[in-house]
Amino acid sequence: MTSSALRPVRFTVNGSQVALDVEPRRLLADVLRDDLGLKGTHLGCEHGVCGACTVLMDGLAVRSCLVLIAQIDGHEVATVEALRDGDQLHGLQEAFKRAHALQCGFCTSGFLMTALALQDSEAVPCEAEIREYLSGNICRCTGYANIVDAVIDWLSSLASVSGGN
Amino acid sequence: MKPPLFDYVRPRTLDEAIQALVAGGDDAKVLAGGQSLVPMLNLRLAAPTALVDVCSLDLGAACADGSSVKVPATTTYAELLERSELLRLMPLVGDCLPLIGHVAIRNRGTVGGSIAHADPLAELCTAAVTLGARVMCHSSRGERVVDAEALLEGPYMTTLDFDEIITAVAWPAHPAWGTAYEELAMRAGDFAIVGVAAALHEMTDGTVADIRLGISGMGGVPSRLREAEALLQGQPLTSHQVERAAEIAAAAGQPHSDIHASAQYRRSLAAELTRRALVHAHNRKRSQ
Repeated sequence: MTSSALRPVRFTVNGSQVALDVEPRRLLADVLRDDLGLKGTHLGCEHGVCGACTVLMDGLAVRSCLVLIAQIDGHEVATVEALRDGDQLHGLQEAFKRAHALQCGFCTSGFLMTALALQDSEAVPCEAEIREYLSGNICRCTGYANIVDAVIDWLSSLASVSGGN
Repeated sequence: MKPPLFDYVRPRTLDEAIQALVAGGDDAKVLAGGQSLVPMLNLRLAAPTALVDVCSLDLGAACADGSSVKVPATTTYAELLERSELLRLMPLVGDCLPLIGHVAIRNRGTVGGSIAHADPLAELCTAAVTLGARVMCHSSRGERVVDAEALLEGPYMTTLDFDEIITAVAWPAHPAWGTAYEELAMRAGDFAIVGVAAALHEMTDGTVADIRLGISGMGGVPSRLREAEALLQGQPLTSHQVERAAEIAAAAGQPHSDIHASAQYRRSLAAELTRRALVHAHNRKRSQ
């Protein structure tokens, strides 16, 4: 009774329109990686607890391992590949570089896509709030301190820019 | 791992969704945010033959409705967290929402999904039982409204019929109450080992006029601590009273032992979290 029939899915990835015929059970993470060649999104646990697969769906951080591709029809997806602008790294990526906030890099794309939304906070969050916000992303290498420093550094630089220097 | 095969349906109306469930029989499942169901699919712990995706259904917007706050089932935790004017009317719900998972989970997980999934440790289920939330359900036989406590039958088990969809949850408004949700989890965002929800209303002389106490982790479903509530009702909340309530909480239910905690530890957690929840709820009432 269950069919492996393909289903047309239309969505936007990093600003570009995509039209695919896929099995509805495919995960968004796998379609991004295998069908669209966007390998920056990583799969760590495939059940939503590690955060490595985090992407933006309509501007909100979501676990792409928990989004069935059929559910993405009509929506907008942003992956880590959207951060850089040609040769120019995104300010958040530069902050990660400066703070040595990555070692193997496996968790990094998930941290970047999760942290992005912090720029929309009304006030610059304190360190405890940043730690709480990032607590859904697991890192095996760094011990998190440099990641938190990078995010603080980036948010502070945004605040000082908008403060009208 | 990857999900097994299923038929996928995205109905545009509630009637279409119900028809899809009827057509799918016992093995069709409602899919909302997928934060509980998709992990089960990925781990092959569930293999529904059909998924009925309710995300496109227009079930209205959350709103205050007389003495209650009506929240459509497809409302995500994140969407509800943004409705501060509604959370002011139901502060216990506002207390437990930030404890649910992490940001990415809250951006997708839904209020209806939490109740339908009936995880025995779910914060929203515990708050629903504690407050006496009412759950609106639709099927081909029409609509029924059922108390959350009656709906949550056991771990991951509800009294929902196979073709029944939760469409809304109505939370009793309690804006003047002091509330607190205390839980212990191994890591931030994990499911609690034990969770205690407290909501109380006090007279100006300090007498507890009304109180709700709920606990998770001491049995297969979150439950009201009615014996403790009766004890505290009509008296000032003294430390002696708090201690007696904590003892009742510790003796409640039949907690089990597992790798996270022994039954004995769960009992001592129940006591300590009850103490904290009562004191915090009392302090918040005082500071109003």
